[in-house]
Amino acid sequence: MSLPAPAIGAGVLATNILHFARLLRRAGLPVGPADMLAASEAATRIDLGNRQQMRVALRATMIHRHEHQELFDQAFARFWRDPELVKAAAAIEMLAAGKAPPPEKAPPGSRRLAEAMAKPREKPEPPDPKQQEIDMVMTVSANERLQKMDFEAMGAEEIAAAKAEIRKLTLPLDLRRTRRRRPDPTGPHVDLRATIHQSLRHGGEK
Amino acid sequence: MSLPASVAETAALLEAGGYVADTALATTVHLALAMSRPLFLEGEPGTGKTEIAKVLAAGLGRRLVRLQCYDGLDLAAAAYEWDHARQLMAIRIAEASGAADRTALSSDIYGRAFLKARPLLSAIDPDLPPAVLLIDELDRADEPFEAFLLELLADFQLTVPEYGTIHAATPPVVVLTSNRTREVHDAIRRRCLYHWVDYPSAARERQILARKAPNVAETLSRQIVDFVQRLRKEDLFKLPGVAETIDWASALTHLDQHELTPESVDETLGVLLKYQDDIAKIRGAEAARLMASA
Repeated sequence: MSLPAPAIGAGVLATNILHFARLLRRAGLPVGPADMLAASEAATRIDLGNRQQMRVALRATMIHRHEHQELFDQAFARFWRDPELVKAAAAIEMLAAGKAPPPEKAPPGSRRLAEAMAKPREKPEPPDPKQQEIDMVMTVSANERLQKMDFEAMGAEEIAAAKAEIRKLTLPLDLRRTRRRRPDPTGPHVDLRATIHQSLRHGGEK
Repeated sequence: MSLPASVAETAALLEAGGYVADTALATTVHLALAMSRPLFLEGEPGTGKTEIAKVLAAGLGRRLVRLQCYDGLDLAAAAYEWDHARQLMAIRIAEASGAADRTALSSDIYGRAFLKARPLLSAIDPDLPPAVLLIDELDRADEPFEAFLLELLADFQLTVPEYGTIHAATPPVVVLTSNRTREVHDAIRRRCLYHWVDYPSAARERQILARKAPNVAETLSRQIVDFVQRLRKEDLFKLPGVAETIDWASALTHLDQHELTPESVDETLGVLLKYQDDIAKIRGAEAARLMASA
């Protein structure tokens, strides 16, 4: 797996933040250019030697939802590593290459991240025109598979598909119509009582 | 008072105000102050989100301007309102005194004297000392209201159509809080630094208790924190926050309890849990089990 490792040297912090933002974006987090600029500015305001401060600074500027925090923390742990440690780990990996890799169960959420790290390009390949005829017998529709899947275990593409499906759902609210009205500034009815009450504040003039 | 220059100084400032913050929170607060960006705090109720704004105001020597959001909050109650009655009076006085300069009068009655400042305008008023603006429980306001905030949060300015644009002389420190009863729009989130305020760890909760309820005995404080920490792992409708822990500790002290007993827990459970279903579930055997697993 080709991991986009942080570049080492002076003046590359901004580049690394840019790569990190792209990684997050590939993992499905909405990180825009403005977030990237904010992150670069935040990095100048903290003690860069302090890993915890760096993590919090990037998180506060790039993440705007609690749900994204888990994925961010995993991405941070894998992207911002000690370059010396990475070299050592690579050496150990070469030694251990002959042995069978230990079976490991990936932590939830890491699949999307692994996909994002493995795939440096942003655009999907054009579909192969030869693969048009597919035997559909005995297959399950992709939607049916998504219905039973854990969100955490989904890949980036599946998350996008699930989001599209969720957007189509309508909540079964307002099944029973009621005559009772709710205040709504853009509603179709005039609330005479509230209107008069409000105009009393202006001496009945407005 | 000038802004703190480092994360350590920010942590010290919060500490001096009686707020026990973890490193993550201190870093985020420091960044919000240094970059003059609004701070958006989300988390369960009773985890000390509102308190941060109060401590910052006291620590920085600024006035605290608080806007409590509610359903139906509108611009007139949040930002500014023209003093209609006074405008009318001014016109009538002008008529009675025979002053007939209509252009002067019409520009006069839309002057600053007739503009009633509500919290948002007051926070950026250049004639007043710098402020800490607390927009509390933003999730309770309706969605159109969030749009009013965008101009203020991005540029610290407010446009009054009849008057002009009012800029803040010193950018206010803005703290927004939300309990997540509704998702706050991305446009607001993008303009802020985001921090999720979690329940504190046992060690930090003991520190908080020592600061906020200093006359609670050491043993009792440890037992209380252990009990509450275990209670938060239970499946309850509303988990107790830090505020409840502090209340409970002072309640037990007022009742002259020096350590937790199943009876005292049962009697005072209402301080900790605010829903009858939760109380019924924990009272008696369950509370004893939670205490025994200490």
